[in-house]
Amino acid sequence: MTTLKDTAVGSTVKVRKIGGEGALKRHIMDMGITKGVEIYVRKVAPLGDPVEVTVRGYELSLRKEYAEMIEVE
Amino acid sequence: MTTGDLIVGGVIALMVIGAILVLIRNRKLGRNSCGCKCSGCCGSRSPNVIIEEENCDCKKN
Amino acid sequence: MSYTIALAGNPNCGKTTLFNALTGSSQRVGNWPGVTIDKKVGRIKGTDSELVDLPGIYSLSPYSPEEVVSRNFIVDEKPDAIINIVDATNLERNLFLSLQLIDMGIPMVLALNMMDQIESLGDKIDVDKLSEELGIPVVPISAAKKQNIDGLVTRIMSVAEKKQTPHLMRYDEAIESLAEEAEKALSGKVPEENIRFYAYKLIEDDSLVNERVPGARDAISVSLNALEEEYDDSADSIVTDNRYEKISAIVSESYTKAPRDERGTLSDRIDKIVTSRIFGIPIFIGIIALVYFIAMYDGDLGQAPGAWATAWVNDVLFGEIIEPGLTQWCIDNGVNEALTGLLVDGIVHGVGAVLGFLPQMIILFICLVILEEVGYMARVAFVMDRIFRYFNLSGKSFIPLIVGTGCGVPGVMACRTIESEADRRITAMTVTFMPCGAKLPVIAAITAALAGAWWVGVFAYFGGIVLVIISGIILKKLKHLAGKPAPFIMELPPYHMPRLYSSAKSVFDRSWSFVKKAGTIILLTVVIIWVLSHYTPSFEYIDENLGDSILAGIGGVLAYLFIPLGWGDSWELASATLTGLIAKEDLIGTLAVVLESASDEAEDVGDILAQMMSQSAILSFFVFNMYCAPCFAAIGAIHRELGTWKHTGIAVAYQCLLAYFVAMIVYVVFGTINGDAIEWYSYMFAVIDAVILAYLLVVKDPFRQLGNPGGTEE
Repeated sequence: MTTLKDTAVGSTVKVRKIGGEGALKRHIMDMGITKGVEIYVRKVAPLGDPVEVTVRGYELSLRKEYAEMIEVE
Repeated sequence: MTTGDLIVGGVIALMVIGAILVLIRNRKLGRNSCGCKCSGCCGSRSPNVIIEEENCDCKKN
Repeated sequence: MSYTIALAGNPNCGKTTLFNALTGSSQRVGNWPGVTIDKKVGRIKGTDSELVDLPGIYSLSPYSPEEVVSRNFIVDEKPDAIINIVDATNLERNLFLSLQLIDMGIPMVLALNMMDQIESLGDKIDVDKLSEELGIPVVPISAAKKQNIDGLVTRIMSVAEKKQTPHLMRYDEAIESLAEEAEKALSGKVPEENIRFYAYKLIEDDSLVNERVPGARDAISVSLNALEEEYDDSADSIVTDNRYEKISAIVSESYTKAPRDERGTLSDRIDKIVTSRIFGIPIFIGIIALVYFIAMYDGDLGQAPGAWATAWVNDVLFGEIIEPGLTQWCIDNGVNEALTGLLVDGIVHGVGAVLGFLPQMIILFICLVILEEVGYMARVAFVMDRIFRYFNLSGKSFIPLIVGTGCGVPGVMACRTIESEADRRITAMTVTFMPCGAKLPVIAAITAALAGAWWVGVFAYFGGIVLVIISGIILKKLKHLAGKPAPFIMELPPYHMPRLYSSAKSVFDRSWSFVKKAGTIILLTVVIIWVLSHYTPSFEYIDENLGDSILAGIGGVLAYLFIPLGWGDSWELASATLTGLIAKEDLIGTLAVVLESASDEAEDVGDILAQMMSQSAILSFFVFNMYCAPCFAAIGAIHRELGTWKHTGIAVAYQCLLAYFVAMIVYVVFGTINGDAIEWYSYMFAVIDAVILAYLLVVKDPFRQLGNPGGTEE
């Protein structure tokens, strides 16, 4: 199970599923990350967190705890 | 008291009173100690730093 | 007719700018009941209607107080219409909220903001198509440039008057039929106009809806489970997916992108290095070091222009030309000795000492303004976020710190954007550890005193950051300040070339403020200090041996405190520190005045300090003043943020204590390395301080709160 956390910089992945529940999951989805959407990993901050991605045409900066919840392929 | 005294004394008094007046005027206009409008020191706020503009409420006093 | 209009939209889409443009000065700020969120209401200019500013939200889920407040307002207070402000450059994400608002079934207008940016990007939006697809009127505007605001007002008034409700959107058939069922289950139990909103929230298993209408979800559970099986996903996911699919379709039909130029990717390439895991922080340190080097270097390799100019102003302009000139004029015109002293040694010398740093200030300002304009400061927040989170502080805390490097007052006020109250309070208490504009001349003076040690400035910055982190760790152990940092999602706008006009204006503004401050606050302080230091308690004028003056008496008492820090029993240094409460630049002004008679040659403050004290003592003086209580204006801001004078007092006391401890340790460590003479009691205090700090940092519950299991767990 690969998550966004393990995705290399510069790659584009597709979301398979969003784990977690409640507020965390809701927050992720509200930001536009849903099943089947494409995510492009732009950069990863020094020390690995947060991760910056491009999703639906805009840029987002995600904490590790969010990135871990997003299953990709 | 010489003329020199008067001139110098006058100049000093002017400067002091002037300074006080400017400070009072700044108080009324809500300027902070940087001398600019409340939200951000004029220029230290760049358009790229994302701050909700809703934080300027120096009037809320 | 007087209507109530709600203003809703994402954070950072120009909502506040629009609100201000619509209501002007008629706005009032209150509170939403039960939460600590500001409620802004104002009258729409040119109408009788009221505009209520709802908090910035991305969605209408039941999870954050902002969303709950907005939902409840719309449902319970029933505004006559809603203006949904949308950032056209971020259309897809903004529309997610719009779709949910449309479901509310209330008359609505979409204000498409930032149209000026769309134009400059070369993109096009088919407003009519967008309006048709969404089922509501769409009005393109630019709130910042005040374009078409009138058009918006006309439209919203007309929509409110005609009670023009949205044409409801249709999602996938499977979901729509489920929604119909949900509506039946909810019928009669919720307001009819909002029933579609409730139906969808019910499907999404919204906790607030379940509370309001218990059991309703069970009524649709059969079809719900079937749907979830079919899509192999949970209901809320399905609905969200659907919304975004719809948005995608709408946007692709109405939004035409111009071919993007290289700029975006250039930003990416730069960021790849600047925020990279290996280089990010060293680059940050390097940039700050470079800035100070350019402004203040004065050593073996020569003098930086800034340092040279300052030395010239102080030594030549004032020292050889103005001051002797004025003194001569006064003597020639028989001016009273005391008056001459006040004018030349007090005002001119004192204010001049501060103004002398203007060249270095200008250079610093230029560098810092360029960094901000280019967009680098946002990257800094991004880079520091991880470090802060490691210490259980919100990355969002870093932004007030950045603002604080300009002036502490807006820095403290910027803390309002931090949601977590604990973080907000801690940050407010620590913002002033960052070197503000007023501290820059002090940095410059100390740099000069330490023979052009440009690293002093860098030290001040990073020392500040370290103290913020240390404070975060220690203060979070206080029971009422513990708490998990709120999640922080941040956008990094692309880099762009600094705009010449606005950069120049920034530099000018800051420089001019500096000059104005010198001519007002510092002038007044210097006058008072001169008088107090040139008159004995029996009001005799003295020219030398200022140690007999009133000020020496006051300062002398305070000076005892600072003996262990290596300052000697210098009333001059103590008095200067005291005037730092008025303005940090006063440190320089006061020192210039009280130390003036210490040497016959006109020397600037830096040189005099270097003669007076060992290098480590200079450093301890610097450290203490950098981090102790801020100026009165900043203390006032802290009070406004923390609420009570008691808390403000605690905050200030904490800062002074921490500053003292750190100064002590620095003095002893640096002094030992440097070979300076240090008293035994200083060593003793330093060790005690270090132990106390270590204890507070390491021990889990140093404050012994009863029933508090460590405090950092949540």
